[in-house]
Amino acid sequence: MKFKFQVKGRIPPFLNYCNNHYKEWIMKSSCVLLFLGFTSLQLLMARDGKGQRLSDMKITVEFKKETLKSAFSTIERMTDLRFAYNAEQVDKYKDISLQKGTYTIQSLLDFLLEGTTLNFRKINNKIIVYRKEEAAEVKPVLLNAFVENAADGGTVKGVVTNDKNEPVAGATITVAETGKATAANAGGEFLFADLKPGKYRLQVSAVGFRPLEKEVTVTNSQTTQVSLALVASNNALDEVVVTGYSKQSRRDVTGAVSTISADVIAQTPVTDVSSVLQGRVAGVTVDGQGGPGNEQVVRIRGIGTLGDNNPLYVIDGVQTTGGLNMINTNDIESITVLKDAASCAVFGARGSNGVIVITTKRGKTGAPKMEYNSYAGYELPIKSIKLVTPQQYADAYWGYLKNSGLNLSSALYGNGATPVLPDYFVSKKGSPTFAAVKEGDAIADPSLYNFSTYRIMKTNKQGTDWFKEVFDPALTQSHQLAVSGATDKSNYAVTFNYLDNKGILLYSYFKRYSIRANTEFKVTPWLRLGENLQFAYTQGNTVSGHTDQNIIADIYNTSPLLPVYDIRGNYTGTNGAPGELPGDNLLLSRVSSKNAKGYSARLFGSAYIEVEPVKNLVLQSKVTIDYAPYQNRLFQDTMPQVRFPVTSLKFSEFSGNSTEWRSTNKISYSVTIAGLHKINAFVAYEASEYNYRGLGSGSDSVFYNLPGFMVTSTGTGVRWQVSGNADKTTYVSQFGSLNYAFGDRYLASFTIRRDGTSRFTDLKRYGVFPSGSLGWRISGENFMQGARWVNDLKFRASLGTSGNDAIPSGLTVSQYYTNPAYTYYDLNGVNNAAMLGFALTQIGNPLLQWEVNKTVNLGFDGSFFNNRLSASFNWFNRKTDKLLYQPPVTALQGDADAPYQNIMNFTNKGIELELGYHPASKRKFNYDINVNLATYRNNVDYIDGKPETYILGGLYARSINLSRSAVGKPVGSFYGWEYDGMIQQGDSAGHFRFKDISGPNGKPDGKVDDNDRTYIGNPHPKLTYGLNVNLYYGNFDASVFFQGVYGNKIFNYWRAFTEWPGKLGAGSLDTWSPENVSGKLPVYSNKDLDDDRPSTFFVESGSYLRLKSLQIGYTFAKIKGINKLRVYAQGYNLLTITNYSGLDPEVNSGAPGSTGIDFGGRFPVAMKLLFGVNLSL
Amino acid sequence: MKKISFLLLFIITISLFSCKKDFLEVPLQSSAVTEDALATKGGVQKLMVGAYHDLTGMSLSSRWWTTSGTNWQWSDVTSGDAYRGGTGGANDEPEGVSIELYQSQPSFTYILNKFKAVYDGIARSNDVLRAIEKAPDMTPEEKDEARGEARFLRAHYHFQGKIMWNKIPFVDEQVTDFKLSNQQDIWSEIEADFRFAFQHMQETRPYRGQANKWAAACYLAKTYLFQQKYDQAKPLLDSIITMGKTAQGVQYDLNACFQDNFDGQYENSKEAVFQIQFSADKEAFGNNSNLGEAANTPAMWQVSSWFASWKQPSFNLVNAYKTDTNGLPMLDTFNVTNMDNDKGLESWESFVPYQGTVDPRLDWTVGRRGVPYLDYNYGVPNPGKDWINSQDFGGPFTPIKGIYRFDQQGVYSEYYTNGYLLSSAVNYNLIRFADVLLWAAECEVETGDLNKAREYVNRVRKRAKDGCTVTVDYTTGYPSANYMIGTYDHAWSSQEVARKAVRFERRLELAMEGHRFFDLVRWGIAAEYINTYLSVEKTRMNHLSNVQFTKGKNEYYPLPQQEIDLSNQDGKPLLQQNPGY
Repeated sequence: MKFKFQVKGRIPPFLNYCNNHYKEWIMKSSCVLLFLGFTSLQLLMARDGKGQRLSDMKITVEFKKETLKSAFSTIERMTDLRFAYNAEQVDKYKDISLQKGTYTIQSLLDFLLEGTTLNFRKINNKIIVYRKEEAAEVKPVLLNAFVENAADGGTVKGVVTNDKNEPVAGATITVAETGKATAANAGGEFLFADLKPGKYRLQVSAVGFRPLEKEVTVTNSQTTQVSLALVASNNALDEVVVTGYSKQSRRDVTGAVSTISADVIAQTPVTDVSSVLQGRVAGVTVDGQGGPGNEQVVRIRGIGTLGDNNPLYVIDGVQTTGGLNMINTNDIESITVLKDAASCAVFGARGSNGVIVITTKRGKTGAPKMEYNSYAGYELPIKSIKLVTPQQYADAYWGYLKNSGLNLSSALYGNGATPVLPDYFVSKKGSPTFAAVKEGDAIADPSLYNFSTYRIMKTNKQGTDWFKEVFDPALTQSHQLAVSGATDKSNYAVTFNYLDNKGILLYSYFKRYSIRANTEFKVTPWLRLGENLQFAYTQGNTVSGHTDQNIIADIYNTSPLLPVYDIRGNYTGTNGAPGELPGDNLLLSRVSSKNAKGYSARLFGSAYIEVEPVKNLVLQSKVTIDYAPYQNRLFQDTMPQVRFPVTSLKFSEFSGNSTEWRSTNKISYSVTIAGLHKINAFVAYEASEYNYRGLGSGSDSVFYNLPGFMVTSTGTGVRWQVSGNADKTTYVSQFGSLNYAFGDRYLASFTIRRDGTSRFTDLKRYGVFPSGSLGWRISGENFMQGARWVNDLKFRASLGTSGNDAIPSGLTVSQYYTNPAYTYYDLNGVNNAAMLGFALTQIGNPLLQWEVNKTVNLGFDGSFFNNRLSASFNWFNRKTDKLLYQPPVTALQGDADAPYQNIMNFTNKGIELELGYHPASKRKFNYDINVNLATYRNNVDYIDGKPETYILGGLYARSINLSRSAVGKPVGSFYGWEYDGMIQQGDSAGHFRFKDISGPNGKPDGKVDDNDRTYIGNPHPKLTYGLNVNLYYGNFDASVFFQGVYGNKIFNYWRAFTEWPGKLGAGSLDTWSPENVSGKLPVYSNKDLDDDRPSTFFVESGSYLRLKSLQIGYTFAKIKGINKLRVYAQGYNLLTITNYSGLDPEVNSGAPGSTGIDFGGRFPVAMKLLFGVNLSL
Repeated sequence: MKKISFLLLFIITISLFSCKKDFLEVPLQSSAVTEDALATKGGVQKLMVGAYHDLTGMSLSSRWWTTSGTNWQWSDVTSGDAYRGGTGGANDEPEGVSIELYQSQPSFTYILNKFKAVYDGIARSNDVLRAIEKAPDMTPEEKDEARGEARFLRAHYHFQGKIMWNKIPFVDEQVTDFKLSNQQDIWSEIEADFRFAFQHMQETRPYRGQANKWAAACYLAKTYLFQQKYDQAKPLLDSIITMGKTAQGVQYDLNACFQDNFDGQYENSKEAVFQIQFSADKEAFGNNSNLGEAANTPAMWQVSSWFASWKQPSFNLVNAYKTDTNGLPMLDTFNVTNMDNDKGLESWESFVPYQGTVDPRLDWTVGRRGVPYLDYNYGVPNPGKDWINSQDFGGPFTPIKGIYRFDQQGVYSEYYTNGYLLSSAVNYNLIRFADVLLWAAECEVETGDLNKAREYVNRVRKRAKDGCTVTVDYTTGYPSANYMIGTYDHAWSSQEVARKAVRFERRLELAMEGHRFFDLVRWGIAAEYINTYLSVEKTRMNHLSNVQFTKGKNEYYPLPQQEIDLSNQDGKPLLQQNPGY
């Protein structure tokens, strides 16, 4: 029997009634039947009855301590009568005995039901057994329904729900033994009739859920009720993929696409969308940037260009490449990563680095739902910086003096054979300006203390731990309140989020307040309107960047002998101190800049109107806006005691705003011809404009360090700084797409896009980016029907192009600028009013054109073994041609910025594999496993037409480049000498030996010079991977997530500045000396100081495995009035296994030429320990 | 009907958002203009100002001391006249210390920054030359004069690079491919530029700080001298000395007072042939002042709580100012004993300054204990050690030339502002007339007229003797030291003696002005002279132990490694490193 659901509109009120009272009914599935009966004509047509009366029918039976149920079965076996009953009501009647004899059915039933609460009624050949008090409600419609269904054989009825007890519409239910399949209706309900008695396995699958299998027993004439609760899946093969301009069923996708669902996002307590991606998607690498609110470095399939490698983010259709920390991750419904050019081609100009499509949550049909999600906990430093002790540092200095043939004499440590640590420092005006003295010295008499003129500090001989002084566990918390709901005509979702993420560095923090409202209205069947809008406001204070110039780098540069406070409790400083006392009070520096704050807001969203004048022809007009004002304030307090005294309060402020609008008009049409040819197509026209303006101003000699004085008018006006800048870029694009599917088996997709950009001249302005892809669902072919273990298998092939113009605007012409500091000159000799001058600041290149990215992608998506195993595989060859880059040019050209050029081609080849294992749900214990692996190999194919040309990169602290990109090598390969051990004999004993590998003629020439440099390391990983295991036991759930990289090298050149002879890092003491010939570092002296040249000595393995997240949750059993209540505890960044000696192996700054170079000073990634709650009403 | 109206509305919306053709034509934003906007007479002048700016060396946004147009790091500190000074130790710019110790390396940022600063000046000069060709509103004469001025600047910058590195490429306005070899000597190109400038620039110029015909002549003469072309230099110098005039049309002459050359009030005087016009503009963050030498100020607390006290005069230099009974320098014996000094003495301990006779230029060149330091310290003599970060490392003396007077603070200096040093706005003499006279003396020595040479030297010494020749105690008016200076009244006995006297006079007159090292190299005596100096000086200064000047190497600085790497063509660098590096 075939059922056809014709459900429209709202759920009828009586069905709700059924839901509330279902236990009271004779049969569990009665509601379904009632509903079906009401809505299906077929069901309403009762057949003619067979006129036999029960009192006329006789059978011969005997019951011996049987149950009521088995008695009914016996009667069924011997007659053509079929019973319908609620098993619960019937089960309790046992021990029925009856002497063998011949009875009429009427008397038999009277006997059986005597003394029970049950009654019966015959309709046709059905015997309906019901509770007496329900009699009134059983008729008449219900009975008709029963009549219809209680056909020969048994019936299975059920409802499919998710873990929130909401119906899952469209779920596919298959009877494994017969292959019969049906789909759940809008209420999640389904029904199989006419099943022969026996045991059956029901297999359930639905988009976004783990497959489920349940055994049912079917009895003749009985209706077996099943309730199937699905568990959401993290990596389902069947789902809807939002690709920005359109939606596609995952089945029909022919490009390389990965997705992350809201559940995974919920497992990741991060401030930034990009952090969610780390280790989750094969081919996406994320380098963590510690520090509150700092954005991560995200790369899809490695480095695709030499400039901006950031992928394009499309958030509800709004395109952006930055400011991701402004997006509340809790708002996200799903993330789709488009990896190959064919998938990205529709984004044309901006899709070449891959596209990350983010869809935010929308209201779902049903009553208004409120959710509250929150977590709070601590962030902790993972690893601390170890410094030498003051005595060790002094001893090392003495060694230096000896090794250099210098007198043993120091302002700090005296003139003795061994250095003696002073007891006091005195920093004062007059003579001497700084003194290091012993206990009892008259200079250190506390009564002389005066903060302005005479500061006395007691030295810290144990050593001040500057790391501990400025790093502390920090509180982090997030609260989110969401309300959503929908009717058939509209849906809405409103969320509010508050995030307060304090950083482990003192006074660093990131706060975000965001509100989002998504709504959609179906005004008429042919008119739809919708919007989504987010407003976020953030403020923060953080330290970012990869530099040797910030407070984190300074921890290595600050003498531990300096105490934090002087004898009167004021902060110390090294004003007047000699060089043997390096650094300055870091805590003071942190305290004095605690009022340096950045504020920003972002209004981000889109609105559309959609008209469907003819069925399936949709005209859409959409406008998106991204408005982002920001303001940075710097309030620098006075610090008269530091080495470079700051005697004037300084306030400066920079503010600006960027506005980007985009208007898209689209006509789309979809049609299915003859049930076989499915066609989706659209054409669109788009224009966009980006505008930025900024303004800065500052003032010195501010009167008071009070918040009210944080305006630029409070300075005494000795010096004012005013600066301003602006930027603008425009685009015009036409594009279209055609998707064709033949019977679900043969898929084809074509996209073409033409982009025009203001960044190039009209000669090279437009780029056309076509792409095409094909798919073959082999599992749909007849010859595969025998392979029952294959549920779905699709092969894909795609070839596509996309473009890139991600360079600053205005680079086609040479730019001349004027700036008092750099182009003015006092030609008139008046001394205080230099004349205005101009100078070249940027060399232009009118021939700039589109960088083009071509990707071939082959792969398959499949699900096997009853959907338990899902797999997705890609092989890709991504070729970037005409790379836009600003190669470093010779200073002979002047100090103006080098021109950008289309200079280079390179290739990334690789494979990606995502595997998911989702065993069928068991009663109590369930689990699933997801693994992803990716590898790519980068190779430079062409530079400038000359095979020997290379491009320098990785300039750091010295004027020598640490990396090179050359033909045949990966981009940004490390370049330097090969360390060959320590010289033990002769004049050079204690210095490094480097290999003589070449000379001017290409042969070793017996001396080590520039010719001996070679490629000494590949910064690109051989493998990146992630492993996620979710466990469920009863109400408990747990997830473990590992992530790692393997096979990359890190250039730990930061060591040369921290753990080198004479530096303060704890590792700096292992220097060579005649007494310590096994010392790893060169002798500490003032001679032959080039041992720290770039060499393999500094190249280390960057492999690591990180226990990124461990979460344990408990969901409370149903509490009245509460839909769901879950609490959890989570650890994040719990454990890192690595041989890397630096602070953290995630060192990438994002600049291709600096990949894998540890510049130090990076805000370390923190460990988080959190507790959270998810509540929904 | 409704549907149709909505459809219409939709079409209208589309057409509204359809863009005009010029939607994609976005003009330059921010403060930049295109080349065409400057291809006018006014634009050429503005580009010229930009090219002049690089004389200051302050084109890079930080590390001013490495690029300073005064060359103190590259010449004073490496010539035996001064130590690097400062606090020593690993935290006071170790690269600068290595340069003092003749351990420059190709990877030093100091080296690269200086290279960049030099070639940026060249690039800016070439930009002017290109703009001149396009300017429609300039007469041919105006164009020629502007070309002369731009080529003067270009030659100046090349000259700076030439003496630093010797082998460098010459970049003119025609160059488009900047992969250039440095295997060609560029003196002839530098000469050609100066000659063109000499021939095409006017004698008087609208602005005081501008180069003129005679500045070009002087620089041309200097170029000859650096090539030992004494016969060509001599007639040119003769005509400069008789006819040369400043840009204001004033006949070249020595200023009345030696120290006027280092006093903001007497900038662009008759002695100033070509100066870097430092100025104290608030908007420039000190970048138009002598920021490159700001850290060379003594650590005087009434000015600021912190100065680096770099570039501290050497014992050797101070000793050179001793005079004999005739007031003449002790050419052979000056360095046998040290002038009395306060090394190791605390400022509160008593000290009596040197009582022997000294050249009065000493106390306008070197700050020493017991003698007033300009008008600082309210007339109380220099307290010695208190003003110095580390006597161990920098010795007991401090520099004076180029330091503004305390009462000129804010006029010839930047105001003190947060984070900035009080850098001086006193002009620096790239060439002053005394320099020219001493060149002429050199030429006479080399070409044979020793008396003429002596005449020039005496003219310089006479000014030192007669005009404001003594430093006085600022408050009492009494002399601070036993000054004694005389002229060479007897003919020099040989060319050898004459040469020695002339070269010694250059040192006394021009010490700490950034010339010395390059003079030693052009005379071909750098290795011998400096190693002799070191052999004695290392007994006085601990940090000079084990220091060696390598002949054939240390005469020139290494080319920056990055530049060599960037000059790569077909796998081979076009720029060749200097010998020994």
